[in-house]
Amino acid sequence: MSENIRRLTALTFVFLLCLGGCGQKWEAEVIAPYGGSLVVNAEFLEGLADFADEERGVPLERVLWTAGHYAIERLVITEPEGARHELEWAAVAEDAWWKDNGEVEVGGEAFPVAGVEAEPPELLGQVQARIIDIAPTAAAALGLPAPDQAAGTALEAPAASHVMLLFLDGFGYQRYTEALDAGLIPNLGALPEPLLGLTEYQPSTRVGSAALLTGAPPQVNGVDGRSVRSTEVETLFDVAAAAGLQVSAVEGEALAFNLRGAEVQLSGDRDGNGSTDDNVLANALAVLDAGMPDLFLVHFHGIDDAGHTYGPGTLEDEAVIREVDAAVGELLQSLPTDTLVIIFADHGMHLVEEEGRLGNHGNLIVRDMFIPIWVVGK
Amino acid sequence: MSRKTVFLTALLVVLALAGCGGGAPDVEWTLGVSGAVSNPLTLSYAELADMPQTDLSDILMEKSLGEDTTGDWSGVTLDEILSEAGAGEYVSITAVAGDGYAIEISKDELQDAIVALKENGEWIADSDPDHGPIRMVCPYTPANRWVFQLMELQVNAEAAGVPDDAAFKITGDVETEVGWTEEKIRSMDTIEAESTNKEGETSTYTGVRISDLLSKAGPNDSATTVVFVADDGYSAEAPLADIEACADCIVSFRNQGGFSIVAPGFAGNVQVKGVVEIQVK
Repeated sequence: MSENIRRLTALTFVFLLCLGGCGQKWEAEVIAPYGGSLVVNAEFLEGLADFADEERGVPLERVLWTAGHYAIERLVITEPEGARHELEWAAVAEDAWWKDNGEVEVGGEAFPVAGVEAEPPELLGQVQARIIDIAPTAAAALGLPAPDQAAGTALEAPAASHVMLLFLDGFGYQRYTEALDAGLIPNLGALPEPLLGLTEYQPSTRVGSAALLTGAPPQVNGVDGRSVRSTEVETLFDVAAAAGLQVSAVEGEALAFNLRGAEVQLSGDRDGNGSTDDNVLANALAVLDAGMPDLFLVHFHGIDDAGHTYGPGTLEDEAVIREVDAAVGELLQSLPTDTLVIIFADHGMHLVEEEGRLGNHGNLIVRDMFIPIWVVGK
Repeated sequence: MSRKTVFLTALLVVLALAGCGGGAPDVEWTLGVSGAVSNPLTLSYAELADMPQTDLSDILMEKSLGEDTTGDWSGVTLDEILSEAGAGEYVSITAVAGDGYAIEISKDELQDAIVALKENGEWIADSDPDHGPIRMVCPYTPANRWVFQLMELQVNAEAAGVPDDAAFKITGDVETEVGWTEEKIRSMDTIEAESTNKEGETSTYTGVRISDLLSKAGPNDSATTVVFVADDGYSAEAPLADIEACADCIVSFRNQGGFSIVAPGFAGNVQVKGVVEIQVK
């Protein structure tokens, strides 16, 4: 008898333990942009552990991106009991997390979640090009095949003997329109209007560079965060170098992303004036003096640097935009004819109030994700 | 002490030595040192571990992403490596990582820099292989200069090109046209030169040897003449070979700013005041 009681007690104990330990099953539904939905549960979040913050969880944006969202205006989160949270995404994007207990934490407030629905910005419906279109466009102009994993499509452009890729770091579409309205960019403003373009998540230089060069999104090229510095996937430069073309690149002080296949020249701030753009311009002009390469990438970093330090729209930021526009003008004048010029940004910039910086990028918002893309022949 | 105890003690000592001996791990990695050096190097990981090690304590690393960290680092000073490679004056170092990342770091930012093999007392190769086995540690600079998987150090000797605000430049039949700001020239190695004027008065001047400046531009073999050009348009010529051979011909610093040519033993018209350019022909 006493033996049976002991067994029963032990079984009850194990049952209770099981209830305590295994009873945390949860599931939520994220509506995808073009129909369908993504089921999010603990196992799914575990698959995104590489992006998680130890204390706070997986950035909510990472889940939204995985569900297929490129830009979000407003987010509606519904709790299991029906309570709704309507969020202006730009205001909370940087501080929204999905925790492994199933709760979402936004701005320090945590609540359980059953469903998530995102409203895109109107601009998303007007997108004309994507950053992953640039490699196929450049390849087609030079008579080369697109990189083998490219998912982008070639934009309308004339065939050319040379292609110049002018990389304006941090010059998002909104900054372009603001700069145009403020009369800061006479040279860029004189070109035909740029295409409204979309970059990839997480909008940053490395993710943008990989998408630009491979023509493939981060899920394919493997560069899905700010810390990955190289891709294994075939790039435009690989294709051009394999075809025996001369590929050159003039970078700022750092080669932030592996430009395999190109002859790279760094441009540190050797004159100590606080900017590398003048050094980039001097080095780029020297390359052009020696003869325009078949494929030439020039990367100006000043707009991004000023945006981070002073914030977009400040006088300091505007001064740098003027300088970069002047540099672009000088380069365009120095290019030989029969050159296809593709001018683009990797991401935009939004205002933040953080110690040490007043601008940042990296969110699924209009200011960060939309970029101008000019495709012009000379 | 019994033989068994002796044996056990010996075994323990051997084990302790093996465990705590501090020997560097066996890592296949090399660090190249190239560019403006007289003795390009390829240093193996073992060779780096055998060089004198310097400790840096409580060094702040400012990260652009995530929290800043403070740590202790040990390794070989950059100065030691550059001296072994025979690097002379340089303006910057380009540090290249195994995955293709590279950054040009100015000399000012390389103060107290080391090539670290250990972080917080542990070999980086063991404790954080993704960021090792060796890493540039550049105290007082942002983390993008702390290049991990460090594979190559390229020494850059001189600024390329002529800056917009150049106060003095060398142009013409040279390998690279170069220019410097007034501040830059005044920060270069100087010598003193004595020169006697028409009245027989001897004065001492401080400045930078002209032959040193010319060597930074690299006159081409076809060049024979230098033309000193002043800010008021005055100019005077001298034979290139004579100026190159002149050990006390200098671009001297004027008290009111600007430069003059002081070329002892050369004709008076070559002593160009307010010189702003040397044209090589």
